[in-house]
Amino acid sequence: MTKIELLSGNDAVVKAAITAGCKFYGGYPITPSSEIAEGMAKELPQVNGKFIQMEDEIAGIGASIGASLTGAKAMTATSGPGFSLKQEHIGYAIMGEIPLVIVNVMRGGPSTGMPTYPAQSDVMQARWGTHGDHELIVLTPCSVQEIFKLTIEAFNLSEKYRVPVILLTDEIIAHMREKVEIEARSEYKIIDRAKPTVEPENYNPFDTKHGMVPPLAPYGEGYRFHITGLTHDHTGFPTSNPDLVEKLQERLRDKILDNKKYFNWYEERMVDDADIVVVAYGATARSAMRAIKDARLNNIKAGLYRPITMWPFGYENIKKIAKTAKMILVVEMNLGQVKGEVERAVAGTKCKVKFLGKANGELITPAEIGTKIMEVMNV
Amino acid sequence: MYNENIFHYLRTNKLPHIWCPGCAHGIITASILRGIDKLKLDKNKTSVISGIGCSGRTPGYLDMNTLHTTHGRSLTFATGIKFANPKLTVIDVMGDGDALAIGGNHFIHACRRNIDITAIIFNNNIYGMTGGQYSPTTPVNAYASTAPYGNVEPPFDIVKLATGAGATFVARGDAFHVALMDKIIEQAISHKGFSVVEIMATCPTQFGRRNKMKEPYQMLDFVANMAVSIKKWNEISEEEKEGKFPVGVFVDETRSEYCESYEENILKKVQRGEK
Amino acid sequence: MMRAEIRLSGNGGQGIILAAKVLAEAAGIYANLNVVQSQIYGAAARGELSKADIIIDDGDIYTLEISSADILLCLSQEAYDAHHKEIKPTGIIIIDDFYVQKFDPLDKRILSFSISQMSKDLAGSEMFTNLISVGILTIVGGYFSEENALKAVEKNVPKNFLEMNIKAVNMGFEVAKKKVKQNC
Repeated sequence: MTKIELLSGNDAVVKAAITAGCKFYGGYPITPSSEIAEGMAKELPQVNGKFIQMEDEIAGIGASIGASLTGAKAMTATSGPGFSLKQEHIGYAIMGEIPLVIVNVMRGGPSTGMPTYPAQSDVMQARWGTHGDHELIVLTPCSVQEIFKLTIEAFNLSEKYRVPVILLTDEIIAHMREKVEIEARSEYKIIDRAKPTVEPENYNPFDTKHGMVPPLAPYGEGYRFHITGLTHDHTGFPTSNPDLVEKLQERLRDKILDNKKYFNWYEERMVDDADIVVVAYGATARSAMRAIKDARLNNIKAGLYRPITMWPFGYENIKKIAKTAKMILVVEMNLGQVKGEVERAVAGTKCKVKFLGKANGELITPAEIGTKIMEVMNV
Repeated sequence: MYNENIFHYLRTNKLPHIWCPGCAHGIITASILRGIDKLKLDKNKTSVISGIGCSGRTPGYLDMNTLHTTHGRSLTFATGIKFANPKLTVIDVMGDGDALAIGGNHFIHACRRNIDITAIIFNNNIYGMTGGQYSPTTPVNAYASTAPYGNVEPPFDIVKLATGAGATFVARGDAFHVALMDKIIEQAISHKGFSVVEIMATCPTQFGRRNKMKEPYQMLDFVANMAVSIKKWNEISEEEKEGKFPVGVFVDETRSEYCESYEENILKKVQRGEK
Repeated sequence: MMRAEIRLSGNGGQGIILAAKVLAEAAGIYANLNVVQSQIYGAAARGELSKADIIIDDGDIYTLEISSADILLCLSQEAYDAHHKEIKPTGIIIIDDFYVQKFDPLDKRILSFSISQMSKDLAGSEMFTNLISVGILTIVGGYFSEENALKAVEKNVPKNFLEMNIKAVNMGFEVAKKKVKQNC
C-alpha cells in the first residue's frame, strides 16, 4: 500500500536507509546533515540495528566500515568539512572493496564556509577527494522523493559492486519538506551482497574466478581472511608485484565502468529539438525545469539534461546532445565543476558550452537561468 | 614459554615475518597467541585489527578475521566490528605513534566508551617503519631522525593516559619479562570492557642505533632495567624512579560495557515498547 | 494553475516551524496538493528571527523559494520589519496586534488579529499562538478545508495537548471568518 508522507530530504534518507536494510550508522554531527544521524539514532534500534556517535568524522566512517565487514549494511552522513575528513577512509573502502553508503549534504565552502546555506561544490571532492586512482559511484537527487529512491539504490549498488556509494544532496533538498510516496518494503528491489559459495579454506576475498566483484564473507562465520589498505593480490595479502598491482587497479576501475550501463541514470526534458540544453542537477535542476518551460514560451527551444548518476560521468549522454544542440548551459551552485566535464564531453563538436554558477549561498533562481538563456542565445 | 599450540593460530605460510632481528614485536605476538590459546578462543570468532607501521603487520600472520587498517584509526574499525557483532573477541594491536599521536583521539574515546576491545600497544618509543622519527613516547633527550639534537618533547605515560580516560583494565609489561607479559595479556583479553596493555618493546634498528643500543640484547636490557614491579615501585625513592616504569596491572575494575549497555538500555527498551 | 506562497515569521520559540509543518501537511497530504516547506536554520532557531515558508501548487513545484508571498504572517515586530516588503501587491499580511504595533497604517493588505491575546485567554499563556495562526491562515488562504487543517493538527501535536490545540485552531477559524466578512 502506498503511504504518502511529508518528509524533509534528511528524513527521507533515514526512511529509505531502513527500508534498504541498513543496520549500522557511525557518524559525527555536522550541519546540515545532523537530522540524518538523529533519525538513525531513533530508527535503527527499532530494527535491532546499531547507532553510534563517534568522536569525529574519521571515526564515524571507520566504525561503519568495520561494521560492514561483519555483514551489516552500514552508512554514515556528513557535510563539506566532515566529507573532507572522511576521504582517507573512502579510499580504504574502495581498496578493501567494502560496501558503504556515505551521504554528503553539500553546504557552502571552502573550510567552515556557510554551514546553513546550500552549495554544490563537492562534486569534484566526491570524485577525487581521496588519493589515488579510483572509481566510485555518486548519485545526485533533485527532490525528496528522489532522495528516498536513490538512498535505496545507493545501498543496492554498494552491496552489488562492493564499493562506497556517495549520495550527494544539498542543503536545500535536505531541509525542505515534500510529499513522498512510500511503498511497502516488499515493493522495493533490495540487493544484499553476495556471500561466498566455496568452502572457507578455499575462500579468497578478492578472487575474480567468478566475476569482477568477488563475494565478501562476513567476519565471524568461519571464513578467516585478511583485508589491508595496501595493494594486494586475490588472497588479500599485500603485494607490490607490478603485474598484480596493475590487475587490481584495473579491476577496481573496470568493475564500475564496465557495469556503468546498469546505473547510467539521467533525465532529459525537451532535448530532442532543443537549441540550448541546460545541464543542472540537485536543487538547481528544479529551477532549470521552470526556466526551460519559460524559455519555450518565449520561443526558445530549450531543454534539460539532469545527471542523476554524477559519477561515473555520463560523457556519452552529453556527447549525444552536443550533436544536435547548438549550446549547452551548465548551471550549478559552484564556480564551475561539472562545467569542465561537459567541456570534455563536447570536445570536437560544434556545440558551445556556457556557464552560470554561483557560490554565495543562494539558490540559482529560474529567472536567473532564464536571463542567462536569453543572453547566450542572443535574444 | 615455548608453546607448540600457537602454530594453530598462525598463518604459517606467511612466515617468516618482516620484523628486524632484535625487534620485540614477534615476542609480543607470541605472547598474545599464548593468551588466546590459554583462553581457548575460537579463531573463527576472533578478530585482530591493526593500524599502520611495524605493529600493523601483526594481523597478517594470524589465522583469524584480520584487518590492517589506516594509520591511527584501527580502534574506529574495531569499534564498528565489535559493536556490530559483539560475539567476536576483538584485539587491536597498535604502535605508539599509531595509538597516541595520529590515533590519540580514538584511543581516549575508546577508553571512555569502555567497549570490550583489548588494545595492545607495542611501544618501541619510535616510528620504526618510516625511519626512526620521534614518537609521543620517545624519551626526552633521546635521538631520532627528526630529533637530531635530541628530543625536547615530554612523552606520554600510557598507563596514566588510559586510566584518566576511563579504561577499565590498564596494565604495562615489557618484552623482557615474558611471564608477566603473558599473564597481563591473558587477563586483558578476558576482561569485559576496554583493556589497555602497554608493552615496552625494542627497536634496535631505529631507536637503538641512534641511542647507543644497536645490539638487540642492549635494547632488551634497556627495557628490562626500566621495568620495576608495582610493589617495588611504591617502595623506592623519587630519584630511583628516574627513567624507570612500574609494570603490572594498574586498573582492573567493572563498569558497564558499551555493547551490553546499548543492548540493555536501548534495544531491550525498544523491544518492550518503551520510549 | 494555482501557486500559493505563504511565509510565516516570528521569533524563535513561537512555534513557527510546527505551524508550517501542519499547514504543509494539510495542503500536501490531506488536500492532495503539491507542497514544498522550508525554513531558515541556525541562530534563528535559538531565539532570534524565525521564518518558515510553504509553497502550495496543484502542479509540479520547480521554484523552491519564495520571492514575494501571497500570505505573510508576522508574529513579532522584528518579523514584520524584516519581511513586510516580501509580499505581492495583492497579498495579505497577518499581524499580531500586541507584538506588531509599528506598521504602515495605509497598507490595505494588513489584517490585524489579537493572536497572542487569544492564546492567553484560552490557556493563560502564548503557547497556542501558532495553532491559532494555523486556523487564521486556513481561512484567509482558502487553499484547503478546515477539515484538512484539523487532520494535520491531529497528526502533529502530542495526544495530551490535542484538545487544546483543536480549540486553538477553531478559534483561529472563527476570528478569521469574522474578519474576512467585515472586509468584504
